Amino acid sequence: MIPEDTQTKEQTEMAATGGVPDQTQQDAPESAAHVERKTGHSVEVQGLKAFYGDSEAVHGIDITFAANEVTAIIGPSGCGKSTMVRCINRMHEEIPGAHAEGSIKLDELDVYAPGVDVTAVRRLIGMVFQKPNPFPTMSISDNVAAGLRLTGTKGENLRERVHRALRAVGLWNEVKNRLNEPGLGLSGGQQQRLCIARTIAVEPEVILMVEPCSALDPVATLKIEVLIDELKSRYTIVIVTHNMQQAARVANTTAFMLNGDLVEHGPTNEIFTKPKDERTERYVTGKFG
Amino acid sequence: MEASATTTAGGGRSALERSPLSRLPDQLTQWGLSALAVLLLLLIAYFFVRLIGKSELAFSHFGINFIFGNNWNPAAANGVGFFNALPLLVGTLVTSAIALLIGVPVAVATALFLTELCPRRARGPLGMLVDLLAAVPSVVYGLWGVFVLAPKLQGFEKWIANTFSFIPFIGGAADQVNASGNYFIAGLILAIMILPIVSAISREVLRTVPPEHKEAALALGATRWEMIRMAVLPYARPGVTGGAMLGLGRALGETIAVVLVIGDSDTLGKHIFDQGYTLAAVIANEFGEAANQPLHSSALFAAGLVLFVLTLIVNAVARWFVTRGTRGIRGAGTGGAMPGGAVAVGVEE
Amino acid sequence: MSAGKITLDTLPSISGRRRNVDRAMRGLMWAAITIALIPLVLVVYYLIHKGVGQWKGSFFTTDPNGNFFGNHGGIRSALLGSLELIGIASAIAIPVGIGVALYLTEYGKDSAFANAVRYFVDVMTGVPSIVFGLFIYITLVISNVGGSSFAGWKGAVAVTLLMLPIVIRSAEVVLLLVPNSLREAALALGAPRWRVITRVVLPTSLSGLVTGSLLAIARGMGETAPLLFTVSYTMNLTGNPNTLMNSLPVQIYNDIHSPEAAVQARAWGAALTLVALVLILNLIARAFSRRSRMT
Repeated sequence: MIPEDTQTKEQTEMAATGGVPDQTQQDAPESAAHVERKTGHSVEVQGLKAFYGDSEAVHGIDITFAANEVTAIIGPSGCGKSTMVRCINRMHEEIPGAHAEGSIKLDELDVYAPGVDVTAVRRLIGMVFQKPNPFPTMSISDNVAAGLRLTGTKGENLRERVHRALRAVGLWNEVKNRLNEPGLGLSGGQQQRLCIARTIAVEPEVILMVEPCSALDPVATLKIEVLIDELKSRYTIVIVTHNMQQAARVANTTAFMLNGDLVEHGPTNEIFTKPKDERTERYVTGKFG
Repeated sequence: MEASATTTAGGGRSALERSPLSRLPDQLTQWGLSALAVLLLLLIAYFFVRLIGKSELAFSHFGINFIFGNNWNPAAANGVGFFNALPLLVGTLVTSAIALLIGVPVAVATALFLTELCPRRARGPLGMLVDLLAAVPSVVYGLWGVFVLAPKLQGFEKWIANTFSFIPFIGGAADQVNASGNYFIAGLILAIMILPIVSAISREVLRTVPPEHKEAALALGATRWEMIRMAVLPYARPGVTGGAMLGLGRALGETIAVVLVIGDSDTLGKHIFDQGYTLAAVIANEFGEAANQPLHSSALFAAGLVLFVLTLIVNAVARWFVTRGTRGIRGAGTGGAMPGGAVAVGVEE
Repeated sequence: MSAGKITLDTLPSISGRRRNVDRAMRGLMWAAITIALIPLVLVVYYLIHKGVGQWKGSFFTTDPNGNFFGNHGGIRSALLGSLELIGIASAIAIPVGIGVALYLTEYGKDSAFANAVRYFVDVMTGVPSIVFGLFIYITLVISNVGGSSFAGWKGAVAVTLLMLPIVIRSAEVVLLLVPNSLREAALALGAPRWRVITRVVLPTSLSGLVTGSLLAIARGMGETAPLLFTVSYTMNLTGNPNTLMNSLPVQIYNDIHSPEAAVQARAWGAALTLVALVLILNLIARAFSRRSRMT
């Protein structure tokens, strides 16, 4: 891991203020990203089917994403991994003609239960997208505050949470003097971290990431992978990636999907060194995909 | 025209050695088309020059007061008439302002509806119906305005005048609501006439909003409206503003519908339900009687010049906004032009 | 957020205010589309209601006359006059307009001159139609060009100027949709550019060009102001474009001012005729455009 600027003073400050105080250090004490630890919630997917119109893209999947862990979903293009993940925060149904069946439980809450408000679900389950997408007409701090403003957070409380989110993603030092400048003025990697800050500012329980580094250069990618490693101490993270090395680097658990089915799911180590299914073995050794 | 074997593949000479004769049609075409284009440009310049020439008499007579003086009187005692066009200018601006105030919000809301809320299958037909508003000839809007709208809205206008009597220019003179035509009716008809073009441009602009911004807003837990407010409207603002200004340009120049429903009064109206006039309407109406009156006709041409310049400025600014706002959907190589399809369809007299 | 269990009850639901605002805004948008379409419905309704009764007997076969009593005549001269005027205008505007559009897409492309032309075409779109009427009045009518003051062909020229920017712009949009690969393939075979145009570009874009032309024609038919200053008004039927001619919009405009109910009724009948023609042209144009839509 690449160590970044030392921020010990701020780290101690953080430990003294809100959140659930606990160990605030990670493996890299020099990291500028700082995330307070918190017990997370698991996500249990049962019998999930996803459709685009009449065409079934995900065929009945059962999988559990453990709390405070990073689970990577890998598989060839078109295998349904992004579709499956987008069902978790009910973004899949925003596509005209698309719908999903089955149950997805965040703790005891089935997000597909009748009467569940999707906007509330999306507060709890955040998403980071493939291409960094800060709101183009908003400044850096307004971008991070966007979700918070929706629920009426304002004033000092709002500022404090924006700053905290920026610190958590390690962007604070780079932007603290230009919080009012447009979000688009940042580099690609910074923009993606800005989007992550925006996502965690509303304090979700789960973060879904859909190929978050595919549009970034290797240096930026590495910074984000470091960040993901820290974020897991507070959130449950599911990351879709077509980059197997990335999955090996960041994920505790890995799931392999093929043609809309979940083929295999287990500790990352095993998936890559001792896969149980032959198809998994062929994919991870590069024989196809 | 099979000139020779040189124009077909595999025939005699290679394409690089085409005979000058066979290049001729190509060059002729290019020359011909360029000439057409130049002709177009010359026409416009010529017109400007002649119009200014015809307006000279009026401007030399009245100076800058032609535009800012409040006295338009073809029947003045001096026999040749007195022509200061402020009542006309104000009428033009007031009716256009009413048209914008009523028409633009409705037009943008319909554009939002058609791009965000409307069930997919209904989008085409409903959009087409809104566009058809532009197909109705303005004389028909005028006809409908005079015989149907004006009488039917009399009661409503009186009610407004009474209820809002504390607002100057709008309220207070309920007994003077003019049933044969007034600023308000003219503005209302103009609102209907500019609606299709503002809506069409707004729709094109809204379509350029990148879906990833909308997704980002939704993923943060925004409601549909909040998503529109956060991700769509700010992005679309320059283009929609441009569309509104194009609507303004249209409203400024509309003649026939206005002349039929504005009451055609040479004096400046005292309130919104009073009779008035506009630059365009006065030209249409007094053109006949001014035929043999040099000062009067020069004044009408001058009014036309003022109108022309006003619409040119408004349209130039509007175009700049719209080009800024729709850059996402324009390909390279289409330099200075505006979104073609919808706009070409929508504009009427 | 606490570390407690998440259930349906502990789900932080959206505030009532946000939900209501969302509903209200959506309601407003639905209201807007309704409000927007009401005038269309009303106008068509009143046209039919008041106008269809006129469509009988000799309405289309007699000319309007200036009688104060009795039969006021029909709209034959207006209808035929409109058709002739628009015919002349289209015969000029459509070929010229498509020609200019071809220049812009095939030859001028992104050159400074071509962009200047585009800019001026856009300028022309914003010019009020009355200004076109004034232009022709100044240049052709006053100076009695062609031996007449007001004349049908002069009005046709005014309408041409109005139609030109519409034809040019819509044609350019359509021509740009023709894939460059088609052009390049033909050029690579050695065909001269004019050939590429006539054999490849025009046929491919034909239905789009037809759409744009029909819409321009529909627009031209409905214009009154340019005709007032150039063709003026007459009730006579004439085929001679070098004299005054009648036209539907001017006929309607005149009849509205009449104090007689029967004449006003004739205006409704004429208006229904005009709108019927215009709407049919529009619907045909859009049917064409649906077939040619490449995007």
